[in-house]
Amino acid sequence: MYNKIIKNTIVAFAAFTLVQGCSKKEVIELTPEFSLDALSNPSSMKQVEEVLTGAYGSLRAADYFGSGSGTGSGWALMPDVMSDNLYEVSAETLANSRAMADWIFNSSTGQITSLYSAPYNTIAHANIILRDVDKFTNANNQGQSNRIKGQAYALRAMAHFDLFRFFAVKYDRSSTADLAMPYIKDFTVSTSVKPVRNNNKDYYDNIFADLNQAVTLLGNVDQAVNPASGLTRPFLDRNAVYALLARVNLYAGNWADAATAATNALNGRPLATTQSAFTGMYKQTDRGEIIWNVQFEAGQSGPSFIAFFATSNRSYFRPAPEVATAAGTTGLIQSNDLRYQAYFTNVPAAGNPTPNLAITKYRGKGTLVDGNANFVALRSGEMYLIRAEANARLGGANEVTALADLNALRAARITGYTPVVLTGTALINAIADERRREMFGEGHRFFDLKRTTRIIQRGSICGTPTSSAGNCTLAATAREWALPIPESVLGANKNLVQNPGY
Amino acid sequence: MRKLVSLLTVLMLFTASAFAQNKTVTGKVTESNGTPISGATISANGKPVGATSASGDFSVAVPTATTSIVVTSIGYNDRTVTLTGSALSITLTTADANSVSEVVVTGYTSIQRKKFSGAIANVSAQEVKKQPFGSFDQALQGQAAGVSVIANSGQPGANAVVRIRGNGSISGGNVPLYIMDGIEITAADFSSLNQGDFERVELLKDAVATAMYGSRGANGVIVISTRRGRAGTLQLNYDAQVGWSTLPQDRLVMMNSDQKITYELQRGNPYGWTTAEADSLRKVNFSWKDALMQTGMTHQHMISASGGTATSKFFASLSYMDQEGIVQTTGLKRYTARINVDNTIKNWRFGINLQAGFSKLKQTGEANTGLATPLNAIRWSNPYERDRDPRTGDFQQFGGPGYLTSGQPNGAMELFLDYNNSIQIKTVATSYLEFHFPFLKGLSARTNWGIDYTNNESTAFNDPRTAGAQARAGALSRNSAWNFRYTGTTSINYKQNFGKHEFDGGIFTEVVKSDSRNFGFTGYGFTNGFTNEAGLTAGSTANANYIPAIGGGGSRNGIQSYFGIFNYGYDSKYYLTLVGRRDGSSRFGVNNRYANFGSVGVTWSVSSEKFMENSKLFDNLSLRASIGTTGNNNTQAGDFPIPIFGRSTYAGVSGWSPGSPGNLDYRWETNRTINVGIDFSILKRRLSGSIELYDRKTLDLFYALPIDPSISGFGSIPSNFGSLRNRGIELSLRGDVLRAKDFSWTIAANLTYNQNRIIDLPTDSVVAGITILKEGKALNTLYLVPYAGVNPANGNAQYQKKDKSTTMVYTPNDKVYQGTSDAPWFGGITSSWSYKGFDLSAQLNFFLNRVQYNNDKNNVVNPTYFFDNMWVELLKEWRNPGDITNIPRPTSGATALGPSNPYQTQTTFFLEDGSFWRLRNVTLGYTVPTKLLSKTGIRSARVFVQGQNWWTGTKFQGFDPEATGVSLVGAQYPALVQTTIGLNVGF
Repeated sequence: MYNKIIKNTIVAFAAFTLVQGCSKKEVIELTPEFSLDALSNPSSMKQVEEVLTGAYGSLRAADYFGSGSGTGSGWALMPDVMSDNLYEVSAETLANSRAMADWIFNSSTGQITSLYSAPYNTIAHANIILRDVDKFTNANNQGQSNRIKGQAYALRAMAHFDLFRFFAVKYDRSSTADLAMPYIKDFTVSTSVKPVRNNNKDYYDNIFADLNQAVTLLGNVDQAVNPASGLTRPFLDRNAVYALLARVNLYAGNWADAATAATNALNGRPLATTQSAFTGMYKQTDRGEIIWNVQFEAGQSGPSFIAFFATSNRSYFRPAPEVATAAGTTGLIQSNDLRYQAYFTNVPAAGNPTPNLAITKYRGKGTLVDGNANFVALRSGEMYLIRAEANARLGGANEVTALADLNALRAARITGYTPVVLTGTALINAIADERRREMFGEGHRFFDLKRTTRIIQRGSICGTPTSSAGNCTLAATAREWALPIPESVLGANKNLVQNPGY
Repeated sequence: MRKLVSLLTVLMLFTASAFAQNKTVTGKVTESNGTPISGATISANGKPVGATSASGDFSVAVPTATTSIVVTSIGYNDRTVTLTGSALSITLTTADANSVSEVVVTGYTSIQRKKFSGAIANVSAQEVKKQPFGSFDQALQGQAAGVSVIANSGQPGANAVVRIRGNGSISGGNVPLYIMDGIEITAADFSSLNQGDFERVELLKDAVATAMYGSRGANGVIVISTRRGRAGTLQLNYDAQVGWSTLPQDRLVMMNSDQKITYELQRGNPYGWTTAEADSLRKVNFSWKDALMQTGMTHQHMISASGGTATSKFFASLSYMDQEGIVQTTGLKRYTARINVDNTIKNWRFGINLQAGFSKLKQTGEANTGLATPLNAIRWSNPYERDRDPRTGDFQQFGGPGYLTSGQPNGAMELFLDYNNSIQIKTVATSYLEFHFPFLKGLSARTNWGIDYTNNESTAFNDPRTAGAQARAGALSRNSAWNFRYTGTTSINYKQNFGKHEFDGGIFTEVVKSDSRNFGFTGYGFTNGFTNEAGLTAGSTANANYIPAIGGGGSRNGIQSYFGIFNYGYDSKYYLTLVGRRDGSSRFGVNNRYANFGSVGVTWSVSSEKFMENSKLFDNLSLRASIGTTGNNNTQAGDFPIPIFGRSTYAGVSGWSPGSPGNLDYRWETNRTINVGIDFSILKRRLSGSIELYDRKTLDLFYALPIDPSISGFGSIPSNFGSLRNRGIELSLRGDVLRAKDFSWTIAANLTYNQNRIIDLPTDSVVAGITILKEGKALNTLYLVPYAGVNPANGNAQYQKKDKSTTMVYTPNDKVYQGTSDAPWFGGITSSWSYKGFDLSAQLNFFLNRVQYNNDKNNVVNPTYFFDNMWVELLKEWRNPGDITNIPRPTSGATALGPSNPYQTQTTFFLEDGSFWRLRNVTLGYTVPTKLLSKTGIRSARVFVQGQNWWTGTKFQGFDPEATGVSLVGAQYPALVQTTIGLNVGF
């Protein structure tokens, strides 16, 4: 009898165990409730488009166009910080970007790793879109598909080009000896895939291929990429892709193509000519001449905390006096220039009433002073300058067109401007100066010097106690013109070749 | 003949069957100071025959032939007493960790220590209880070998960092598992638990000891048993403490006003002080430390009651604790209630334990380098500036709203106008039901279920007047999070003796499931004077600046286990433990969710052997050995190792971004532990101790395998790779130095040496900032360039190259290994004296041979920051050629005398010896003799004075060397120096 009871008990226990075993689903086979399973998604055209939204969101990363306290702002203000446009203020800096500003970075500098990763994150988004979009494309949504794909190609090309601007040793279009970066066209999660660096020629070929695809696709869409009216243009439309083409062609030295693309980009995007239209681009009070801006919504920080901490009025970096001064009577940008008011404000250091200019372009939307501002990444002013430079370099009869663009731009910016007549080197230099004025604080100076004179000589304030800079000159031969491939990435991918000198 | 031998006193009390009665034995059981012990079990011939009453008295019937009885009570050493024919007066001594007669609790089961092959340490609940910490784990420091307990923060209620036998995981969790009354409770979350309710705290260290928790026991297990009721008349206890805490000595000396002004003038007078201004400022010497800190008061009260009948017993308590921090406005208020009930009806036993706690923590930011953090302000604010302008009485803001002249936010505004609170509600409830089958003695079934529910609400308010908060007119963030976990364990157990054979085993099934949710908001626009939701202005498109941010999330995970534990003993000499288990966790890749673990342990009670019978030396000697595996599921990959997209937004539209690469093959991190132990007592038990040798090897380490971010945007993939070893020796000793009639002197000491070594890595020598992961080196090895002083000719800092030559050119390639921040040597020594009713004890703890990077010092040495206050030694910086000093010139550019001199942080200039000795606790107590109390109606009374951290010996330059991690980041909230006066009364 005992045996029977024992048996029954064991059976009962086994049954109970089984009941708990059935709850395997309840306890073990759990799936996330607050994120989307990427094994089976994106599973519709709508979700593909949502990944595109994610791709744009990735541009806001602190090391792409976003910023942290004294850090980040990779393609927004970092190229200004690393050039002669800004100087580091001894009395206010927290020295968080000292390695970058003083060109003392090396392959283990954290910011370098971030600059390497941020664009590739955008590329990963684009590759997911391009992998999946065709699965959901049919006769009824071809226009939507084109619109999504076109932007994905444009983002992929732009992110690759941005990497190239920092990490490539040289910008030569046709060099097969100089190394660019790995051009990635597939999204792969793997420990065994170890890409190699493409040479410049292949890399440019890929960028142009992607941009040309984007131009074609965005010419046949279901609805406008950006709304017809509004205060912003947060998405890459066909004008923006042309603008990117103009920029890439300028770096590549394809002068005629650069000029053509700039003209196409300017189609329907005239220069802003009033103070309110010009300033409004940065304050989100007017669309101005925006071709494309990176959108930062409320609470999503902004592009300029690396240099100016808007909520504390603290300037880690200030404009060099060669660019502008508090008096507004000397320097490249003076008070009769509508850029002066749009870019700078007298914000002295705490406890020191001496007037002092801060870079307040991105101080906030409207009248706000919270640093939450959009980054205007592509606009008509740059297109005028690209076309001017391209034509000036083509020389001959094109110099007339170049001069016309330069004078037109200046007339739009400077009160009471009298047109000038310049040719040859003087014209090219004037365009370069204008470029420094126009694109101040928009992420160009370091790259412009890199592709032209290849020398940085910081201005008069460098070497004085006011500036904490330890280095005032970057020689043409310096290795720092190209950022090193990060040590951690080299460790993970033995196929990558380090830049010379590191 | 079958004998019923049970070791669980509580259970045993009621299973004794009637037998022949021949004589009656009476007596009284007390502690050495005369306090009666109630509920102690009296056994004769291996069978329990009764228990003591509330007054400690007993009267039991035993067979005539009986010559001795055994008295046992949890928390005390067992005692065998020879019958004399007259009433017995029996004194029990408090159990210590090494007592072989002691019972050990490894969950809801218990086993006699002698028969147990696992490595285990028992911390006296008295020790844990008496120290007024807001988080009980802090009181474990120095109490047990192999267990490193370090307070990272003195903030009231802050938990300690507890590591059992070293760090076993590089990227996964290293926190031990905490079990209370058989169920898992959230680790490092104890501010709402009252340690006064604890009856036992056991630390389980090896694979056999943690066998019941094999799926989660890789980092060791801390088992807490709460107090149970005792049969007898109702007993009431009142315990109270009142005291104060103060700031420890600060070993990082900053400049005073005179020195700072001198330094500023030396650096070019950045603020342009006139001579008159400078002279006047030199005299200010304002103490930011005094302005923001205080002597904090502590008081706590607890009432507990215990009682019941033989079949139904209860314990209940209420407690209140109010501890002020040493930083003004900070502190902890805690309210707890508990009731534990145990019942026996025929063959059924059931019980329920309920605890509810509410705590309110007022905190301030710590361990950061933020300008606005008050704890940084006390170092950084210039001593010639003040918290308040003496002319207006309002906060001094010469640098603009919220700021001092230097641009440093006024720390007093940040501290007094802002607030940073968190409220915790925590409920731990467990219940069990046990059935003893009537048809087969020793066979029982048991099911134990419990929940741990925690709700945390944290609030941070930024006053609109404070630095940086004007732009959006202040900010209020409130976040609410709850975590709910249930644990259920069901088992069939069998325990029986056949002659010389003892069997004890069970098969178990266990399920643990955790769910968490959180949500919160940040609102702006505090314009109407209110600092809570009433002050919030909800933004709109017209007022985008005040648009609140909202968010939320959640997660869940679960564990399912099946296991069997089998113990066998032969002849009271040889014992064997076998454990086998299969565990599943939701946290692993679908392909590898289940894994098998097991352990085997043997014990040989050498002193029970015939050949030892006449040993003069050994009163007890036993050898233990065990080997086994346990798992860790505290992954670094979070709860879901599948590829996922996370939510993202752009331009007001919602989207998806790759969130995690996932790894469908992600699997358990496994610990393989070998343990060999010796327990001994010699010299008539005057010296007893244990020696443990262990080898803990972690395999399949959680490791984020780095990949080139170009292919996926991810920098790494969660993987299992490599191995790590902790090897060490633990020594615990306890000796009675003197044992006279009225006087006794006992010394207890424990010492641990733990050697941590990385054995295998996917990529050797991974440098991460100031540390390196290198095969053959310990985890948390610092990796810095040796600082080689200043070049007298040009004032440049110099560094030592790998070839030992000196250079002015810094390169990370010159970094060398510098030791580790995890002390390999640590322990504690406790000396206790008692004389009649007086007792005095002192505990000295030590952590040796550790180094730490002092970033707190870096913050005040970096010459860029000279607009704020600086380290006093900077006055010695190089100024002229020929100056011999250790502080380089503050400028970084190249000069005519030498090359550029950029400030470098990753050097040994900031590396400091982090070893320390600490007088952890001193207690002087007096127990009022029962004789004096007998007429007052008071059962027992004791008063005491105690102090924590009264003395610290260290070379570390800061407030407190007691910190974990490779770097002392900054804004340290040092461990409190406390003094309290306490009272325990029993009715």
